[in-house]
Amino acid sequence: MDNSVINIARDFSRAPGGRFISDGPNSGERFRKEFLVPAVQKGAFQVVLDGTRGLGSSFLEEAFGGLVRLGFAPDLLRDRVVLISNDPSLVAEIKSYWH
Amino acid sequence: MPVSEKLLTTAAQFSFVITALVTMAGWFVVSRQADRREFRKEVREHMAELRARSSAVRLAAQSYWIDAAAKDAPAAAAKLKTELNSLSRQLGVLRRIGFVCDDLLMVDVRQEATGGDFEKKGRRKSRLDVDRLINLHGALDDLLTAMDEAFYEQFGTKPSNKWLRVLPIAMLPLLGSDSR
Repeated sequence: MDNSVINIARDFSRAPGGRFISDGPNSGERFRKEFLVPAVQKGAFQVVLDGTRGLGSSFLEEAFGGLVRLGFAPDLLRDRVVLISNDPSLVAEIKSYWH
Repeated sequence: MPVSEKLLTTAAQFSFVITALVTMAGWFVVSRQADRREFRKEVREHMAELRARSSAVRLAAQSYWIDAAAKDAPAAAAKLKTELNSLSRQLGVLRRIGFVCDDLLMVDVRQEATGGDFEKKGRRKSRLDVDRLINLHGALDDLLTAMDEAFYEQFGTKPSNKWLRVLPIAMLPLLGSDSR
């Protein structure tokens, strides 16, 4: 895995789902803890959102919105996390959690 | 030879030019309208597909939030996410051919369909699920309305285009010089 690129489908799961770890092994909480938090602490990186079987809002909100609840400033997240997707609504949704 | 007669003679000599111009103008208008008609037909098919994808999301959401038993919930959730992907892809197709709506409309749809307790293990059904479905229907209707508006903005009759329809007819009197 390229350290500066997190490809959800390749590096995490083709079928991410659920909000909390108690909801399943591919939850937003686990993705946040194991991938997003270490990457944000390290510096700038890209997240590739395409290639999964679908991303639910519960997963997205917990994974990306959860970063703000953990104390990361929205401005810092907007600077460090580059979201890549063919679906602009996915990018718009995640950014809406960083207010 | 009087000047007026000289002019008429010259006009008669070059009448084929006028005929050619009128023919070319007619060909241009007809060809443009045929292209436009074909494109409109193609877009209509994409819009129909968008409606079909939207209906599939409604059904899949109904299945997940209301109908599915707990043991069937994971399959119903996967189906709903797949249908949302298809809807989003169809919006992408329309975007590529110039029909765009606000991305936040699709965000609303996804949040209503898969937000809150979506995929929560041991989720219990509640009255709020019905409210969620009602909101989802509203969000889908907003999305479709926006796309309809984008369609009619492009294909609605614009006064500036009307002159093209009468251009060949308006030029017909010029053909009169050809019969001289």
